[in-house]
Amino acid sequence: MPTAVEALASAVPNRSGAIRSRLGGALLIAVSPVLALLFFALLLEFISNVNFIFLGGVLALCGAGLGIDAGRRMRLLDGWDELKRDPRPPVIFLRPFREDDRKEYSSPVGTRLGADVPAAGKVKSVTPEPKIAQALRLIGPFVAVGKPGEWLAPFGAARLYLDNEHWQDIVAFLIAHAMAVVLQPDVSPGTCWELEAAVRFVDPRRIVMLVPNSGIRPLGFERIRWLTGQVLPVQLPEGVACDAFVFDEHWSPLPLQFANRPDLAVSGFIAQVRGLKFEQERRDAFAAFVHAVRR
Amino acid sequence: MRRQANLGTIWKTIKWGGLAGLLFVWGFVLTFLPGPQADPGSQLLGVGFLIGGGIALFFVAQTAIRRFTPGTHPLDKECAAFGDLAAVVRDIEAAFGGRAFAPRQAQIAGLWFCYVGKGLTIIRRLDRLVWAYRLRVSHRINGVIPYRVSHDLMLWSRDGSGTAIPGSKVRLDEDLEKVSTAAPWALIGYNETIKESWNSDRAELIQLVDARRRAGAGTSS
Repeated sequence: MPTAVEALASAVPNRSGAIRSRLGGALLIAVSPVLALLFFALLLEFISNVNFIFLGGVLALCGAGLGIDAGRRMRLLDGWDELKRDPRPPVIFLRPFREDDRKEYSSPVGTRLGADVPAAGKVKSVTPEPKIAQALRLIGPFVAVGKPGEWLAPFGAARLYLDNEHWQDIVAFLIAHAMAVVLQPDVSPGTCWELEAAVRFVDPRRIVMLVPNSGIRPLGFERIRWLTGQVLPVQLPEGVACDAFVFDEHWSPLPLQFANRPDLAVSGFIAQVRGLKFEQERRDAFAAFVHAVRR
Repeated sequence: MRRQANLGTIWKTIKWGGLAGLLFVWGFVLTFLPGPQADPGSQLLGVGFLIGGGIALFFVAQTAIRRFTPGTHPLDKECAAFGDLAAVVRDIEAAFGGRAFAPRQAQIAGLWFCYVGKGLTIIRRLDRLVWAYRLRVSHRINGVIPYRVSHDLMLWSRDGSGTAIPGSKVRLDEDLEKVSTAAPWALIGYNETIKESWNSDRAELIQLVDARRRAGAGTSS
């Protein structure tokens, strides 16, 4: 008769959601610049127009960049492989999937009608996940639920691809046995449930909550403040421009400002988590679960 | 307004038709009237210009015919976006009360914002307006070499679409003032906070504007 942990482990899908191949990724990284150079050489050979050569060079450069990026992402470890390699309890990142693609734009986004006005250009990705991943890996394997249907895993937390039927059971188990939880709440049903689960099962000192900076997105911050106010014992403070909150044992929130170095900003949180005791039976239960996952 | 819209269509037809015609003629010359140094490459280019110019002329003509046809006239299309065409036209005419229409500047009456000029016909309802500001655009060749600066009045509606009204800096500032007076609930002026809220927290931004409108209606009643 399988135990509850073994039954849960059997619910883990056997295949990775994203394209993964360490060899394929390495080949893509090696071949992309070579192909780009070859293309540019052919361009120089057959085209005499300087504008076309310039455009072709730019295209070749972009193509090489995309190929290298894809190759690197193909080589990323699957979340379950990362959990199997690193026996420590995980640091789990809970967020709405759309945050993975959040970008900062140079101007307002939307269809433009009327006079000729340029569309909004993307400036940069604003998710702090890749920047805090390395720091958080100091206390445990950094994992997150993968977005269904994505072709390549993003940088940052190692992705765990789950099916729709069992994801909550597995995530609840991971939350209950997590070394730390990075929470990015929002009003979607999935993240509301994750917020409630984290508040119920996790020591507040093990939680870092990413929020919209009220100095830049006051309305977004108010939305999160309203949402978390229904769940957290102590409401988030108003008028504090910060990027995240950590908590003490009484759920009193302490603001964190990332500035340009989110990895440094979370160092205090990492030290706090390291100072906490992690029960051996929880550690053993998690190890048994990971061992039972067949992939 | 219709007369101005028709004039705009005529101007655009002449402009683009002229360019397309020029391309067609150039192609004709390259293909059938080559000079002494003509080479097959030039004739091939000429054929390309002939075809391109011909297609462009066809589309310019087709567009002009469509724009003069009732139902597909730009003014009718703009009005039809707000419901029954006849009802919308009546509503607009009642709001403007027979006032003379001046082209190339914003005309506001009641909740209607109208603009006709530079080949554009724009009608918007101010109760759908969320955000308005004047924009300075530096146009660049290949994204590098600036060649002109234009000013536009940007109107962002609750459906997420933006409308750009061209004009001079001084006139657009006057138009923005008119919009601000006619729609005091709308957010006026550009700043990074509103931009980020528009991009990331649009639902809340629209709710804020709705709340401002309700508060304004409560105060005025």
